[in-house]
Amino acid sequence: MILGLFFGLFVVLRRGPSRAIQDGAALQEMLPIEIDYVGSIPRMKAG
Amino acid sequence: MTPLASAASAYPLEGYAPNSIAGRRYAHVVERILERSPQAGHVFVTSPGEGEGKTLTATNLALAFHARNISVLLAELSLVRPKLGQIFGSSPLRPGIEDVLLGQSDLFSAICVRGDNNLNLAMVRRPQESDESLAPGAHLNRLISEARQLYSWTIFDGPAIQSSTYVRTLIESMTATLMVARAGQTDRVSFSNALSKIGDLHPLVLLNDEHM
Repeated sequence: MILGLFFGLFVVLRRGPSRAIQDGAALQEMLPIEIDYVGSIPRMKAG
Repeated sequence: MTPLASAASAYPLEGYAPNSIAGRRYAHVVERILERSPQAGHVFVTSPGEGEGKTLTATNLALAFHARNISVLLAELSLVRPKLGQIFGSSPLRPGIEDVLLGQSDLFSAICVRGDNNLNLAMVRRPQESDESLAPGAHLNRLISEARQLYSWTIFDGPAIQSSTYVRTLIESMTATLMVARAGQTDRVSFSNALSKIGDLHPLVLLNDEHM
């Protein structure tokens, strides 16, 4: 059970709040047709 | 112009790396902007809230213009929470861009140049308590006019939409606006609210930090 709780917490922390935009497809769904979506920048590691 | 020490940045500056995935994406954004205005102009970078990658996006976009041998200035308009210094180090100049906006300096005197790639920068030297100097007026008009005289393109690292009452009037002075969001962070509601404020001005939209 404890392992399950840790796993759930890990998933929530990794995904962020459920109301957050998660990817480009989700973002494009929110855009009216006259707004230009120019793409996404992949997550980059600093350094 | 005063050279700026080019210490290795801890931030991923991919706009000058056209062979990287991110570098190609930034090059694509440049092409989309040039489709709107092939010759010259101003790009305003903003986001719904703080911490969504405005400064890094503006920096990489300026580097992507620079990589195409296009004359470009990266100018900081986030007067209350300036971040360019975190990437490039503090400006070595006495006048900052805030002095230009207060009518106490011309733009040329506030420009420094990065040592390793000659990117020209106009940075905030002293964070301001408010961004009232971004209100429409003679000093802001002069800054934009001087930037147009000195460079083909100026990339403005602007304040967040939720943080400044002047974002809309600033956008109205620009050739193009790039609104950035961050995957996993930008809230859908705040994005929709931001879009309701500036959507009729047809911003380009970019998503940062997408998991590939």
